[in-house]
Amino acid sequence: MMILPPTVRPSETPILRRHTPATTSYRAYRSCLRWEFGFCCAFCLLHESTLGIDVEGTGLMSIEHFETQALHPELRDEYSNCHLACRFCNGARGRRPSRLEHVSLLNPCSATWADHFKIVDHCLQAVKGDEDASYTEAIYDLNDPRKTGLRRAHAETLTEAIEALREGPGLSEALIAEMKATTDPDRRTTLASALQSVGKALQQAITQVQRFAAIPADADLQCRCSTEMSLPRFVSTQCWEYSV
Amino acid sequence: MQWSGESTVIAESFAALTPLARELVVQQFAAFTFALAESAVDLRPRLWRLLQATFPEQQAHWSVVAATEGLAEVELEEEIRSAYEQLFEDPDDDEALQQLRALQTRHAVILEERFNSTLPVERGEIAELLNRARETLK
Repeated sequence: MMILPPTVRPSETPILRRHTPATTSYRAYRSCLRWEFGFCCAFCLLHESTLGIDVEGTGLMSIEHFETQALHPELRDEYSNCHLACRFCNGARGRRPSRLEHVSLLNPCSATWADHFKIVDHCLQAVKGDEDASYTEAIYDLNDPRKTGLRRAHAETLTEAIEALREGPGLSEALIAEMKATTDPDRRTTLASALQSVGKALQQAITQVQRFAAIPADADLQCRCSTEMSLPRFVSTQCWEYSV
Repeated sequence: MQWSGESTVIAESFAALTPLARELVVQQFAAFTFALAESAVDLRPRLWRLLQATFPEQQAHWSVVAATEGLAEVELEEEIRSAYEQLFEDPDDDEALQQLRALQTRHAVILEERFNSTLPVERGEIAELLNRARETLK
């Protein structure tokens, strides 16, 4: 099982589109778009699992038209114009255009997000002096308190579980070693109780990390264009493989 | 039941329902709206307003539904959307920006509660168990 990192970092390359659904109503692209963007908002990088469980159908993730439907109705069903986006990014942008006189919105399929944004304290901050990134940050309100709060909650929860998985086995060994070495029955009881605590912590940590699977349980098993179901590189390279 | 078309169409449909059917719709409304596909999300605040206007005598009931089923969140989101629109009109309006941030912060609290409720283990519990073991080994 692929598990997300505590913090999803910006892509080191533009996101390469792999899916090629036949042109139809844009709403039919959802399955392709979810896999295309690794179940993450293309702009603020919030993953579906950060928003909840089985979020498909709840409206928490939506389809964002890079060129808005209002200004470019002819691109409404153009697959390359559609991005997976969280409801917050979609709502923040509204109908604002992709270009103003001196600035343009960055498109994650043609721009390298890591060149334009840095993660600082759960915020996705535009690189200083990068006007297009600043415009994109403002238009999608990339750091509205809802997004930073969810990023922080995701990071803290996963970090706690991962630390337990790293430290737990060593703690168990140390407790067992001391149990073997001591003859004091009270001390042995105390150590046995602590050992139980570590066991419980490990079990809980396993359950907790599974909550953050990179591929949600409600992921479509088939998409519109029958492209192989796999995560985009920017997500898969950040995930870690976990097997029970 | 399909929710499509303009508010007037919905109002007429409502008027045609039997009282029992109306009551059922009222009861099911919250769960129903939250199960809507994203395409209909924009319709929820309109439906919400319409139902409030259609059944003003049930204001108390609406409050309970809103509080228990999260419909207050729908209203909050609509306020946030309005705040964005106001800010788009005048990006230098500091008061509008402060209002937006306050609304988002209120919403963030709801979202974090929801996030926590989807966790299989309470936050901090794992760390506490490990601390107990660490303390024992000292």
